[in-house]
Amino acid sequence: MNGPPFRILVAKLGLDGHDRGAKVIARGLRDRGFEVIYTGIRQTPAMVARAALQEDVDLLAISILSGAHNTLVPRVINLLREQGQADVPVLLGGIIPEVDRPAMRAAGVAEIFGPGTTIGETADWILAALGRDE
Amino acid sequence: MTAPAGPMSPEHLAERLRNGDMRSLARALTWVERRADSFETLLGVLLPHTGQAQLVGVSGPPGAGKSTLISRLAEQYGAVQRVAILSVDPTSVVSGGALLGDRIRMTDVSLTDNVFVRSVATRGRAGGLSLACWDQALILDAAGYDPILIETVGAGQGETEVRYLADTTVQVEAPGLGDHVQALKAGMLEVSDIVVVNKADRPDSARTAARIRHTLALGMETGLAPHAFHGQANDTERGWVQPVLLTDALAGTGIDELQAQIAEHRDWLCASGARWDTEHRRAARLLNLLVDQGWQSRRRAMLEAAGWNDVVKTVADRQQEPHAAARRLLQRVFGDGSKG
Ligand SMILES: Nc1nc2c(ncn2[C@@H]2O[C@H](COP(=O)(O)OP(=O)(O)OP(=O)(O)O)[C@@H](O)[C@H]2O)c(=O)[nH]1
Ligand SMILES: [Mg+2]
Repeated sequence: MNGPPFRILVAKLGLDGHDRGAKVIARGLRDRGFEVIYTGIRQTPAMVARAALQEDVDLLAISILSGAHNTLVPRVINLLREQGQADVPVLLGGIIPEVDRPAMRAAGVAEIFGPGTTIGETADWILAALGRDE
Repeated sequence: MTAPAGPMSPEHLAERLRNGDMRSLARALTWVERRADSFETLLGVLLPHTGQAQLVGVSGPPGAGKSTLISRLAEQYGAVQRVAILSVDPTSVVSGGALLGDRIRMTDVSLTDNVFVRSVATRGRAGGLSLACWDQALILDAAGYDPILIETVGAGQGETEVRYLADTTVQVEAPGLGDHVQALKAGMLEVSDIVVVNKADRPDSARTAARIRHTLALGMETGLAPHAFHGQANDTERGWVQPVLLTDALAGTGIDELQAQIAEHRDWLCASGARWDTEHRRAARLLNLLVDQGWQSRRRAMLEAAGWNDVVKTVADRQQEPHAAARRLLQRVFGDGSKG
């Protein structure tokens, strides 16, 4: 990566306790030169937004498996806006049914990655979104 | 109190963060880390408002419970005052990226308005801190956070940098981690102001504490200058005896006592005059680090002008003895005055 590394928050939103996927993403992005802040499982929207604020992240990657994305994700995005971080792109990963995707995008999610996405694809997308194409 | 997006003057940013705006504080911490255009102006504007906070370094082997302990401490402080945490994790030498995971143990305080947590990657620096930490501590100080708790990289290999930056250092050990042998080897036990044996819920913790006390006492008897630091005045002679405390960071026991000892050390620094040493040591170290940075970049150009590539070749071809070659290079850089 050219220039200082980007700071990315990988957040495990919701009540499910499975964070293998989030950890794989976190580790994979680290190995591609990102500084990844990982906050662990069972994060509420307020906790995620607070971490994004204090860590001044360039991008927020939310991992969610519990199915509660329809309520939780818009809350996070609203909090980001309220605290002056409307410009922070939000990525969504995990299991998001096709029918819910338009609503997620309308709420402000920049991109949705399903279980089949590779770390490489995710990293490339992030670099492009943050204006640093390799 | 939301900062608008887009560029902001350093004066404006300083004013906002001093008025308690978290977004501006977080941005300022990024400015200094990325060496943004006006970061020096920012630090200059903030400088008159610094010098209030106690900087507390927390070191110890991986898994000793540093983050958990710091979270507990922050919880206590946060009830009455603003407290900041700088948590440092290593940058991967291979990728340049980092996995910053200390926040996982800080969930309990993550929504406390008085507690500000920032994760930091070392970005290529050895010694357990990043270079930006020095500036970031200054900014947090100016923003009214006190104390500032600094968790160093948990490598157990001598996280010595924090000893220069911090007013007070806490070494965290835990039973069953190779005990204090590791810390002794790295010299951390002797130079820390407070020693904590965490995981007091474990049966062998009392024995670990006893062994550490014994080792420290032995050092004092043999005159091995316990708690002296790089030729500085011996703090023990001035009356500071390192306490060895037991804590259980999960249950929250022993935290009161640790907090009391941190306060006691601050009082002692002022009363004994050791505070001046601390300030001096910190200033000299930071200046050294900064001057070295400039030095390194000039050095390369100067050596190249003195024929570096040719000299490397002759040494590689075994035509020149390396010590003599190095001395001649230096003479060419500095003129005849250099003794190499
Ligand atoms: N039994 C017991 N476990 C503890 C205690 N304090 C922390 N732990 C556990 O020890 C493990 C490591 O705790 P951390 O706080 O992450 O340790 P650390 O020193 O910050 O670790 P690194 O940052 O990775 O070097 C976690 O599983 C904690 O829950 C304690 O007092 N007793
Ligand atoms: Mg830790």
